[in-house]
Amino acid sequence: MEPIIELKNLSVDFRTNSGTLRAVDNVTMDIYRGEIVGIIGESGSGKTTLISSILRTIRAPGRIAEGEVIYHCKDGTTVDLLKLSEKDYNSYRWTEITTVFQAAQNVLNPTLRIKEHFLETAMAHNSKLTKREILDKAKELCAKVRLEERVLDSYPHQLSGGMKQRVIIALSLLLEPELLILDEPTTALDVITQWYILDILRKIHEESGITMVFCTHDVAIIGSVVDRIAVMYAGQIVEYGKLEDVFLRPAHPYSRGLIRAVPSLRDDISKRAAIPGYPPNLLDLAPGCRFAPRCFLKEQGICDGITGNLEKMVSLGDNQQYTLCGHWKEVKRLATTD
Amino acid sequence: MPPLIELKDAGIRFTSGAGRKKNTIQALTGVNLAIDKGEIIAVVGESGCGKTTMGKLIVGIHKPTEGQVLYKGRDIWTLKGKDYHEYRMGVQMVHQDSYAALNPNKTIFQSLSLPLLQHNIVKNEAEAFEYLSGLLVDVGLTPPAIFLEKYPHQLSGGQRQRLLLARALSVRPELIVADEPVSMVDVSMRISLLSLMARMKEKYNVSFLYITHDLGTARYIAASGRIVVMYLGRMIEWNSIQKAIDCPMHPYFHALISAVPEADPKRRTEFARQLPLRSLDLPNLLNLPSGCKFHPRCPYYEEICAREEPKLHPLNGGYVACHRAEEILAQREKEKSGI
Repeated sequence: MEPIIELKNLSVDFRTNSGTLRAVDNVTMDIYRGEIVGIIGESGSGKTTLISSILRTIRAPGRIAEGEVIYHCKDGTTVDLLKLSEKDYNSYRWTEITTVFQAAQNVLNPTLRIKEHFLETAMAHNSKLTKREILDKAKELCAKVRLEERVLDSYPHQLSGGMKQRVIIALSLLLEPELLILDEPTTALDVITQWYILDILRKIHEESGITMVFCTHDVAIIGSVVDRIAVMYAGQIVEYGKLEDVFLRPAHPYSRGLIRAVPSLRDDISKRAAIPGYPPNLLDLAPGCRFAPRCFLKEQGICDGITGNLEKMVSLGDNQQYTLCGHWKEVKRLATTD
Repeated sequence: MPPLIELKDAGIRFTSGAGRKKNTIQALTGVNLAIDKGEIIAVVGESGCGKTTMGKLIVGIHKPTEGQVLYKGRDIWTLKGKDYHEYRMGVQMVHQDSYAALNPNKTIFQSLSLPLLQHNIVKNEAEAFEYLSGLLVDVGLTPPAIFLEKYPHQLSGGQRQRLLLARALSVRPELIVADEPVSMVDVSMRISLLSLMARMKEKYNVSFLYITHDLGTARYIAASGRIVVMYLGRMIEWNSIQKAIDCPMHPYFHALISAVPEADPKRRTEFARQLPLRSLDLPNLLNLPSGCKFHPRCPYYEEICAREEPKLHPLNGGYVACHRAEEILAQREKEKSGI
């Protein structure tokens, strides 16, 4: 499989009054062309910071401390997005990489009609298109996200939350990008609207084969959409692999705990359990494994909290599953009994 | 013995605008619900369906424009003096946004000890400290002395939500109205909060009204309780939780259950490819459809649905407001046995 984005040893620091906080710590991962990749983690685990570094939207006091973000263009050339000048990066925005932000409902300008958003976006990034061409494209996209054409003449306040979210998705696809990054696209929406948005995204992916990165804290949503899943905890990616592998044969205690903690409609209630304790303070990290204080391996004396902590993720054979836990064999064995 | 809280044909109308632009929104219509001591009831529905308004009606924040809210058989808006005081203490609320619910300028001890001293539950601060320490241990915040000295911003969302629960419990209420208490808490800690609430129900024998839009969590807190489904200000179905989820009667509730995503990849195919709905968007509250409020979106809609509003009637151990519920249920049974 051919990658579209390669993250190499990416770290992001935030300077605060009480010291430097490393929000993303030494993340290495490949995102393959044409796949839907999910990133899950609790709030504060660094999901949004990670994708902001791909989008180059990290602002002071944040700073990309080290690492590379290699983008593979369609013609086979590669470029490190972090080394580009602001002006050069702009030629990638929206034509190659686009995003749907968290709380996207607030992204629309309340004083502009929806069609003006389309015109403005297209003109800012690709001046070659005529007004007519842009509006034709906008109509086509509205149909794709199942909105009526009259929406284009509406102002944002006349639309419901779900409709606005669909407008934003249509807008993000305007210049036929290669990579779409979605940050919590369905949070704050009702289950029925949420189902609709997921259905639209899935259909768009089936039709155009666009690569998607899907950030969320809701494990249930991710399970129904993505191909590959990365689990983030306290700034690190602790496990990365195919959805089936991570869900059914997790190789990190945190992934196992997270999957067991999801309330569901049909499972046996007694099998569900929360992860004890709270995430660590990133300003005051103990040496060794960051998950150790909440980990069942440590509790059972299998791991002392130091030896289980690997420097970087290891591959588990050829099935493209990676983990940060040194005792992954033990985790896998226990997970089969769940 | 009258139920703890009873809603009798309760409804509420809000007015918006003034003059020619004046509009009324019927947020709640004809709700009948009785809550007994020690019972857990989950209320589910889309945003704008009136579930929070119903909670606020019970706590006495909104006054119903139609019908009554009864506390132990007496209208809460006619209660005076000692009786009113007893109702106020007996019904407490846990809010959704735990940060907004605590005063950021006060330590946890200052915030939590005030109602205790005010209502003479404890005599002095030393006693309050002891009393609160016990409660904090109950809700899993140990060691309590450290937490009592902290300010709200020093705590995580899950810890603040536990504190709110402790605060509600501290005046020894009989009913706690919990409005989306876990929607802002991380997934890994949701279940522990839900089971904490269930445990507190056992220990203190308090009733809970659990308001949520997340069906999955409703099942955890109210495993033995009832579920009430609301749509556009009306109760359209209620039943025991497990029965309601296994066998939804109202077409709306059926759609709602089908839309819940399934995490387990083995069950991925069960996640509906098609939703049993004709239209996705909720009708405008200012301009409600005639007859059954769900008929513009209902796939089973017939002529009678647009003409006449269905009433709640008993079916399958619960209640449902749908003209064709019996038919639909029988049809679904047949399809199931066919496969």
